Amino acid sequence: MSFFEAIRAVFRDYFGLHGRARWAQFWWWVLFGAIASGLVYGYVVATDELTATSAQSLGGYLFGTVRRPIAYLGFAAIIIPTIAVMVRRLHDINWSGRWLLVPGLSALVAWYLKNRGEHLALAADAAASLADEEGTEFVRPQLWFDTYAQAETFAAKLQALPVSIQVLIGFALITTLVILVLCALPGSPVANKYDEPPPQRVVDRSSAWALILPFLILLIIFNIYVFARGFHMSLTDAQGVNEGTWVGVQNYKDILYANVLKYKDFWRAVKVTFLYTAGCLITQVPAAFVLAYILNTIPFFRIRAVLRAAFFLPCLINTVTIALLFRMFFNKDQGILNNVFASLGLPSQTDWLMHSQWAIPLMIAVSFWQWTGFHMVYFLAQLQTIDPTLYEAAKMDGISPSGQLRHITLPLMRPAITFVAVTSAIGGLQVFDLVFILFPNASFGPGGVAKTLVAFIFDEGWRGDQLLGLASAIGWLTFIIIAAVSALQIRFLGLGKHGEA
Amino acid sequence: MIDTTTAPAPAAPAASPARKGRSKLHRLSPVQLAGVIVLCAIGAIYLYPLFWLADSAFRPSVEIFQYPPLLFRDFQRGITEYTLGSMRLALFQWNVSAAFGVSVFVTLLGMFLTLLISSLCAYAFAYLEFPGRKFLFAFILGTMMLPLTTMIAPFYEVIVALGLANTLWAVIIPYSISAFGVFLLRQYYIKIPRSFMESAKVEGAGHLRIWWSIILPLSRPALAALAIVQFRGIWNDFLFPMIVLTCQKACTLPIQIKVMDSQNFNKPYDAIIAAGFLTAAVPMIFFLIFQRQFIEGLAGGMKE
Repeated sequence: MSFFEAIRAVFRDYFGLHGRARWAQFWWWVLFGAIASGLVYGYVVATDELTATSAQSLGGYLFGTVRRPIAYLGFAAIIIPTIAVMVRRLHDINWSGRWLLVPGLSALVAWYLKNRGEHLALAADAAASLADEEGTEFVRPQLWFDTYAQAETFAAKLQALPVSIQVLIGFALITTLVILVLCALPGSPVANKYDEPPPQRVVDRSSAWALILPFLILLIIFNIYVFARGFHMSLTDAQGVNEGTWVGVQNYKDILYANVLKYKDFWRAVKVTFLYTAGCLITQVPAAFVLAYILNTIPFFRIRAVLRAAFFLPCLINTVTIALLFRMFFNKDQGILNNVFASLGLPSQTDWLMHSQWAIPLMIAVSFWQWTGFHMVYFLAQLQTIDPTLYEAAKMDGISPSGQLRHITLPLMRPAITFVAVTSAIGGLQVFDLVFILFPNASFGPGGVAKTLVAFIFDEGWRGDQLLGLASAIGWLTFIIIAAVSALQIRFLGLGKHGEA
Repeated sequence: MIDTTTAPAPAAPAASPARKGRSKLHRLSPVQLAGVIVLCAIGAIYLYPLFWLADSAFRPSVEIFQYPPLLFRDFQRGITEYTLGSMRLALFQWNVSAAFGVSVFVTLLGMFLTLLISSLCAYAFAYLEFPGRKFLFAFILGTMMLPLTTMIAPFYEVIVALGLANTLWAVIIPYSISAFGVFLLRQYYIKIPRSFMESAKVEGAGHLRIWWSIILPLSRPALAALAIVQFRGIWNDFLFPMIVLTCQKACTLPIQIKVMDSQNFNKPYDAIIAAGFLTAAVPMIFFLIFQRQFIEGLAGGMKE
């Protein structure tokens, strides 16, 4: 085996890129990306309407022209197929070498922690000196994790390491980035998966375009353009109706390193959102499955239909009404919860909505009431597609009902469970209506303890200073988190090779 | 999808001829019977908040927050004191009647436009060959993965640039593009046998004619599923209309409820409950009428 063959074999094993077809697609994507970016760049250069501020960086150069729409569309043309392909690729990648990612990823985390610590220290100094000038006392805000001290010791330790180790860490970092980029690049378009036996289609270009055009125009204006414009906005200091100027990645730095002057903590919002989502998943998915399983064994279809409808009804109602209803139920003096507690002789003077430790459990409870029935109906539908002869055969072999559950029902229900877990996690990570209405005066919980990611976006972009640039940047970080979480779920819960999602 | 008429319950033993005449309950094992009873109890508790909402919407406002809940006491006394007072207050004093009209208008038009635009587009993707078809379809599927969070900030800007600010079109038009709808309908269309179309083409029918008189009637279940998904989505949506509509004259029902709730003094709880009941009642009534379609549309439609 020659050196190049060996390299190729390693790559093949690593990425699962077998066969000519997949390489052809890989080059197709590279070609497409090159052409698209060349077009965008060429257009921008040809129009040559650069402003002084925007020419400072490549990003400003690309997006800073007066005729931005073309640049936006070019950007979207690259990023949307990439997203689609990344999702598709998750099944194709052979992850056997995943441990190679560990040193690189930990180096990334270390680098981030060090930077965050330095930024926190700088911002705290600035805030303290500002407080000195004004004659007030500087109170350090409570951040979810305050990395300054840890990062300082960590950086010291890192610098104490021999140079060779530092070089190795740097190498691992770069390799990881290259691998991640390569994972994203090649692959087959999503459409292939859904092409059932290729039907013979009529070649009729003009009619086809005429039929597609209404949808496509609206999609380009209201999804693709807006999506790309959101990315551009996240790189400016747009505020309210003011378009703002190019600031590069400053917004992202402000968010990730928790600019103390603004008293904001992105990671706290991430923590709240994750707690809520995890709570929803842990309570709703098993409960929905158990309910569906029990309901499926009831032989009377009438009782079953009535119960199914009863559990399903809450998910049809809008979250605003539900949140208001439960706010009244959780009321301290007149709420039903406290009244029921009082008549049972339990402590009944809790002010549920004003206790910071109850904020997230209450949200999880309301969400449980609203969505369990919805998931249950999906599970029920899937349970009824299981072939009953499987159970008959199992019964003949003398397998107990619990054995049937473990060896027949659960394996067959696995795609459905994954699907429900992924969709409800995506919904949970984007929760807004519930937290906005449930707590009185739109306070996002007592002292804002339950401020989730989308609530954070709303708070920054539509209240106070209306920092739309910052809000867009949070939106993008949220998007990355959601994509990562759903990718991990698909990976670890498993969809089967050609599962649906 | 969910077949309520034939119930192949895996654990239920088959009825033996000897038991034919007796009550069905005898077919249940004690565990199953206990399961049914427990489930019914849970179902009753589950429905209680809705019950309370419907009950309180028609009570005099002084009675809403009484405990024990008045409904139970009234049953004991044999008296009910229902009134349309809070409903009247909500509808005419708090502008809920206008909001109801707006919601109905936006939902109906949004649903209609979604069905029209998506089914035309899906027709082209299912039956016609043109350069870039596969790529465009993958692209449209890719846009399904873009979450709202990255888009809410610039949305208002685009709406203003198009001159749609302060009009209902600002919410209707974005609602009417559904990549999911195109996907769902296209998956349904490619299963329709081609022979129907071939014969129509021999008769000299054009694409629009085939779409209207063959494809649309045959794809009614898929259209119904999409309509229901859109109905529930648009009727209940909150964040997007709140950002886009300024509510000077009227806005959709959830936003109107939020407006009523943002009164700091003398919060009109009776009117809020009445409006909330009204908003919740519409989908529930539709659900009770079209139960099967709803469950197929929401649970089954997602599966594809």
